[in-house]
Amino acid sequence: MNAFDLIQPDTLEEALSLLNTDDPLVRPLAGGTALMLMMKSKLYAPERLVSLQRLKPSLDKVKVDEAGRLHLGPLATLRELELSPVVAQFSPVIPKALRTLSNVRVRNVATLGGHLAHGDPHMDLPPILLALDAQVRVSSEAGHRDIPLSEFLTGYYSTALAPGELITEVVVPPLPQGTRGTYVKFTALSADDWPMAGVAAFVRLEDGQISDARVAVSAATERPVRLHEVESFLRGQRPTDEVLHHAGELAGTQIHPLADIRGSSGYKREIVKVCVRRSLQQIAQTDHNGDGGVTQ
Amino acid sequence: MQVSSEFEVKCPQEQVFAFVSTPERLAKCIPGCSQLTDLGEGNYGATLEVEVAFLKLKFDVTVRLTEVNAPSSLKAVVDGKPKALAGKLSGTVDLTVRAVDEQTTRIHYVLDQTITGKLGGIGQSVFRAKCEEMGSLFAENLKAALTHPQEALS
Amino acid sequence: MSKVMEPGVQSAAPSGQVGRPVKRLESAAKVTGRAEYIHNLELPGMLRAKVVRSTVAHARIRGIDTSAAKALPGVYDVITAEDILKVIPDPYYGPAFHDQPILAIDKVRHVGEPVAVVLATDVHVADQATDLVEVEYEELEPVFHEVEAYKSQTAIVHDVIRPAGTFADLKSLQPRNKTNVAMEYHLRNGDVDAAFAKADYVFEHTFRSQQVNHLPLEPTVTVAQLTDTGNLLIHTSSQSPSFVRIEVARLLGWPENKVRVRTAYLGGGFGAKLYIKLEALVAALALITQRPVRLSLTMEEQFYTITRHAATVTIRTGVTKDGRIVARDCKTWWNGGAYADIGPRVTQKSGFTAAGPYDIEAVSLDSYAVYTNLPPAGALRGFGIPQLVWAYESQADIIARELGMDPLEFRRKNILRNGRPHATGTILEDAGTVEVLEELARKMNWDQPFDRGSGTIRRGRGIAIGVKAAVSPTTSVAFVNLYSDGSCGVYCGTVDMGQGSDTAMAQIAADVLGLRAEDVRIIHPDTEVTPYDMATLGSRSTFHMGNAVRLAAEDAKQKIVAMCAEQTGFDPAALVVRDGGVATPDGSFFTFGAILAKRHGMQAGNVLGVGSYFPYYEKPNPETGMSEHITPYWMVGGTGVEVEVDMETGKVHITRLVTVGDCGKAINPGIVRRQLSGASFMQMGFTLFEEMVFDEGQVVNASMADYKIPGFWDLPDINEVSIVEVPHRNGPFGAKGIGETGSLGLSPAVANAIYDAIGVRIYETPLTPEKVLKALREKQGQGWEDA
Repeated sequence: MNAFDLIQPDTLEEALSLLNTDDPLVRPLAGGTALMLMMKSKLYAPERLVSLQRLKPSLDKVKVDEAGRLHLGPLATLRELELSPVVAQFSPVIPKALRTLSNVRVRNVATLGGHLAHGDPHMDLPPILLALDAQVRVSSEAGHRDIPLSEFLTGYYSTALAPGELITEVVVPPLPQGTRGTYVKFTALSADDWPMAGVAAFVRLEDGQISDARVAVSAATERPVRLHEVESFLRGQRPTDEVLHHAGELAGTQIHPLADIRGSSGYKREIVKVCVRRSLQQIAQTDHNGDGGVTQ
Repeated sequence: MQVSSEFEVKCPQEQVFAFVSTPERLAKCIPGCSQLTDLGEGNYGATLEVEVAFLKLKFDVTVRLTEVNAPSSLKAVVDGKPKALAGKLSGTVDLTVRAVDEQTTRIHYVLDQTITGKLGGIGQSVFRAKCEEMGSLFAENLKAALTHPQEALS
Repeated sequence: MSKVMEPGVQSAAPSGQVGRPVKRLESAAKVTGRAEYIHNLELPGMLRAKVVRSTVAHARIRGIDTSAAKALPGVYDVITAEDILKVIPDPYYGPAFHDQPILAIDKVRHVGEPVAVVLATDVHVADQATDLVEVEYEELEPVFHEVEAYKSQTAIVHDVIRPAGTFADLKSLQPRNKTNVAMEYHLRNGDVDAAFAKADYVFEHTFRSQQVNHLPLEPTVTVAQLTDTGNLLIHTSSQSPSFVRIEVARLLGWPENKVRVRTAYLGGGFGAKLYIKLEALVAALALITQRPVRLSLTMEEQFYTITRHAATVTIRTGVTKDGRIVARDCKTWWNGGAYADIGPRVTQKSGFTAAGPYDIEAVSLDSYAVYTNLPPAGALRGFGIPQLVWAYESQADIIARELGMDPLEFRRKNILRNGRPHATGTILEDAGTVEVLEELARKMNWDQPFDRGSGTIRRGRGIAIGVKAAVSPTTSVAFVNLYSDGSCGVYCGTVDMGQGSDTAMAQIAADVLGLRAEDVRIIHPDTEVTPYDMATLGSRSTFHMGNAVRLAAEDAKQKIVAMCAEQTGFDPAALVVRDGGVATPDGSFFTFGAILAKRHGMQAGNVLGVGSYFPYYEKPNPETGMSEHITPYWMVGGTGVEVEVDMETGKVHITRLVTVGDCGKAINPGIVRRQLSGASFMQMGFTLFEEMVFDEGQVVNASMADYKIPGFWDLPDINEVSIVEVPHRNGPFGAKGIGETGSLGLSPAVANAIYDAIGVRIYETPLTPEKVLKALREKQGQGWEDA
């Protein structure tokens, strides 16, 4: 790792001002778990890092507003979200997914904002937040804008963040009554490995019929994506074995997996099919009080 | 890391081959490729810039045409070094050109490339997707150039 | 004599120190962060070194331009082979061959090979400067696969092969120049062709093991400094300080007494820190700069320093209709990487066990150490044996099933029993082959029906058993020192790298001297004070050093008893040593301190006991590869697993793991149990997912983010360990080594269980979900296309 300047602003305004540059060698630093890997490998050799650590008190709040929306501060650590009763109450899928993410040392320092801004498709929360229709608020010296997460994640390690912008809040709209969800994660190597495929599904059943379905897949694809074809196929159906099987097969046709050391593209497609079907089966099999969960 | 693709262009085979075997023209279709210089004896130097999000890598590359079988195939060897980093980019390009009919030509290419040194670990995985993207961009550029052969050949 | 210890049951008489589950002596120091590691050593004026590594797999070096690196502010110097040659004229090192240059000379042979070193007081400055060293290469054809390298006549890794002649056992092995065969071993026992002709069936299969890494959590670190008299002091995280001293002295042409090598606790070793690793380089740097120099590897660099051999094993077996193995012919190609390291010893030591723990009429074995352009391979927890057991125990199940026999019955029928000759001609003695197999059968409830499930999750079970010979011949020397107050220090070169040897050695000395193990102090390896020990490797320490410590303690005991006898007038034979003193027949009791005080007139003096152990060995006959004394003892390990296989993903989950090992006598049952399960878990990683992935010789997953090792969530639901004790006549208290025993059988046991569950056979590790699903789909006639 090469030498760099570390600046630790005390206020958001200061941080935004320091980051207001087109220079790619200036970057914000939150938990640093991902950035440090890139710096150690010299893939990225910044000249200046702007630490967001001192902004944490103002940007790590977790709350639900009167309208039932969940507000997540970007500097909340993954561990804080995992242990937050507010988050668990909103959707137990989030803390359960977090428990399988890497290890507790990483979760203690990695932040939600970094998790999203890094744009690495092998992360656990993006598919869940994508299925939950989360919005990302990004701020700069010019003001702020709200971007749906689906548009925020633009590609492999790429996001809609422009130079000088920081994530300042993540907002999740309330889940309609009766919606149940799950996150199915598949690791090809050890259990605490990055997922080879992650599928988040949220389904609302009314009188035994699927009235709403949201399915997102990550890790196997170059960015987390919603499977809209699968969702519209599911709407109005009863969750029979045939229907869920078909949903899985359909999911396989909607993705273009990238081969890597964790699996060939063909194998990843097979696994996505299985994970999509299993996520839906789990939801269908959970009793009405159940809340889904995470399986590996 | 291997990327391969096949696509058709509306252009006669001879013309397509003439195009792809002329490095000055071909280089313009390679995303991020600039400053092509003829080093003689089938060797060319160039700068290749690859970008993924905030990561930018610049390579000094040399390209050597190792096999030219007009009008159907050519092979090239690419060697590069990342600027200010210990490492090496090496690759081979196999390009075959086949007439579908008098006006249509099918181009098939296989790009096999390796990065060694510091970038060879995590860099390899970060740039994997980029490599595919560059491949399809290359195809598009080539299609565009050959669809307007007058401009491309000029 | 043999017995099986049940978990939680105290086996030894509580009065003795041997057999007591003594808690690790260093536990408190480790959990409070006080334990000494070389990593924490800081010296005034110390320079930090960073290595410039080759980015190509095979090339001639045309030139090295260090000017830009030297110009970087803060850089002290940049060193290349040219500088090394000035202090060490022949800078080639290695335990089996002197083939590895301290820094690359003229040629590089693998990606990651050290080409130059940057020195600076700030390690980050040194690191940055490594990128400014320009090396010009003329690339040569590389070769990566062991079988291709064996055949290749164009890609030759070493133009000249340079055996070291260090080990007596390797002297009969001859290299072949102008090939990539570093060394070969052949065994011919009986008329193999005639035996195959007698067989009703002949089976031939090829199995492969992948390249994996030791990955100790403390990467290798070495600090070297010159002393006031110009001698060298090397602080190093080494498993073999004695060897380091000999080798560094040889390189410098110095006597051994001018080189001092010391170590501390190691954060794991597993074979990664054996023989000589960074020491020659760092010693040379200290000599060149006349300053203390430190080099510590990163996790990434560990992957380029030493690995475990990938291996291809072709095994042909002839059996009769009733399931007797009558002939076996086994060929093994070991992927040694660019430098021999200890590969030739692996080739021979593992080579001769390739027929397995079976009684076979005629055996033919060929084993080849092959150079390739990959990072060097050495010893890793098992010295190559797990790669062989993978082959012969996978095949054992294939044969049993083809014959319609139960896999356990097939093994029972062929198992090699004590008193019968092993394929090498050495008569099996005091080895728990039958005992381990029977205990495995009992623990696995093998005679009970087993529910294989239906639907998506299928269940299966499998067993495997392997034997390993001890590396031989090797020597251990120990001193036991009774200080003037009667307290005791043990001076031994065994390195405690987490395996608990300090505690075991204390127990042995304490048992002989009538002390509490907790009161014995173990002095850590320092060639200035501790005597010679070959190395801490190959499960040899309990047996070899255990014997040396026992003999040293006996020697001290005899001396203090003699002193007491002289003082009291009793016959030495009538005196009893207990509780840190000597009891006389008249009911008196004299502490060791009191005896010494009486001798010296005050609290003064020492009683020094010396023990030296060197087992009998006969090197293999150069014609037949056979020997009547090939090993001082055998290690026998068996593994049983129950697995669940997901038919839709190919994922294998080990629900129950049974590890059975024969340790002769458990000096410390708690440590034995943890060594067995630790080795088993480590091998589980190598079996299920660990793999160094190469692209043109570059390791693409050289980090702990991408090269995954097992974590807590990967452990089996049920983990059981059975200790079998078949005492060895020459072992200290009957004990044998146990550190690698748990590694032996796991891989084939899992593959056999997968077959039992879903009827699919995998021939190559790791058994990744993709490989399993692909094989299953191929069997079902439904593959998939890559997108």
